[in-house]
Amino acid sequence: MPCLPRCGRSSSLTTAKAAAIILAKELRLEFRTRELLTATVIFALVVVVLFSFAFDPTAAESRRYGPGLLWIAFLFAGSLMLNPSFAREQNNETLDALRMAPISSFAILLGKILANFIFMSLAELVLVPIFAVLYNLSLAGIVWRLILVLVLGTLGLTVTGTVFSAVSAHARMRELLLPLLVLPLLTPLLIAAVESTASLFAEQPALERTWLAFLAGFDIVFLTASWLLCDHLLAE
Amino acid sequence: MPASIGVSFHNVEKRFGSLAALRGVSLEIRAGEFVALLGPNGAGKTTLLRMAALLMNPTRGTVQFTNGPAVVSGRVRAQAIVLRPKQLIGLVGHSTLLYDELTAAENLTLFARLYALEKIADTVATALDDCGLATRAGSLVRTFSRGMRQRLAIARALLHRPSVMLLDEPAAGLDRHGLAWFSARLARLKADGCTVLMSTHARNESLDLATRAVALAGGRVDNDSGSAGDPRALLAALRTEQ
Repeated sequence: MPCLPRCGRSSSLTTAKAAAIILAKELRLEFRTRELLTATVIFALVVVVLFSFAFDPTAAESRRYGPGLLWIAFLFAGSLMLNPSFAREQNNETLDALRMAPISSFAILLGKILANFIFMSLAELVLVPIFAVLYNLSLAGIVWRLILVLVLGTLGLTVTGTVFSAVSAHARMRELLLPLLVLPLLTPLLIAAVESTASLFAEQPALERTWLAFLAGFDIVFLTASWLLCDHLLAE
Repeated sequence: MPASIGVSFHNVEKRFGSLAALRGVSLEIRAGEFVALLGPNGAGKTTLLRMAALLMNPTRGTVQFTNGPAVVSGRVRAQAIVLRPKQLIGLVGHSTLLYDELTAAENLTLFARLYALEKIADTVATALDDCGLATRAGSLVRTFSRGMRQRLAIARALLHRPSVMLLDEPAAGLDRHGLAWFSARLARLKADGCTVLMSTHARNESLDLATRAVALAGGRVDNDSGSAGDPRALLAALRTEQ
């Protein structure tokens, strides 16, 4: 029987390195199964298309209602995507294997937050241009500012959603529990995201700095809270 | 040889709501001991192993690792302290702790990277060869039989050469060939001075390697052959009971 080679034990990985390994694992799993992305994109697309045909909005109406609709589509898509984030670690109790590895709990959480952020961003990359076409809204001149709002809003959505996905993963009715826990918390974030997006789609596009600062603050607060509480969040 | 470390359970109690899974268990497992953990279903074997794996905190009492690079409490709160013994612990649990949608090689590579091992490709290739899955290195784990998954699960747990090996019914699903491989692997662990804590039924052939037998019942230590004692009498008695 061959002997295992001596594998030198180096010191533990840094949080960033460990999170990058978890992120790579999440991306590999998702791009192999396409479980989350396909369902999320199709679901959000159906919402956007259905409302477009139901209301047949004018440009002025689109500017008023479009941002809210867009973020509702993102929220529903996010709920669908974030729930399995930790739930699928239950299958073979792989979360135990991750928790046993000599890495910080925050690295596990951060890897998953980054993965969910990338998945949500990819879904948004497909949705936003289609939304602009269906609702007669021009993205010209506001693309970078819109990306900034989308990044800050999506980050808040994924941080909160991933954290609560970890909390609800052990629960029997986790599909019901996650939206119940997350939606009230996300309401201020959604208001800020909708207001920021609406100001960009206005006839005179402008970036509302107050709402933007609120989005950034929300992200910082929840990211810090997840860092402080990660051991408890992932504990059995 | 891996650093020899022992495990001490001091008056450990674990409650799940009103259910007491462990009721004041005290055990001093010396470095290099091979302990067979026996007992009926619900005796508390898995709970004890999960605490030793730092996956669960005791409701009362402490779990400590001794003679290693650090003596630490089983409380998982102090991350900086806990990280070091994590590198020294290996666990084969009820589940495989493997990702079905990753290949055998990808699973081992993932954990080799998380344990910051060196020469990852060589380590993974040797581990796959050792458990007889080298030809299936590129196959998704979901395509494996139960026995193949279990062999890979054992290979994963051994990948970082742990000093404390925790085994919860590790022979489940293994065929005759797999059992022979597993017994040989356990013998090598014992020879290397690894501390082994194995929960299994009394008829498991690997128990011949045990240097100590501990029987749990109702969350308490019911019988213990002791560190200096001979486990054979207790194992024989338990085999007769079954």
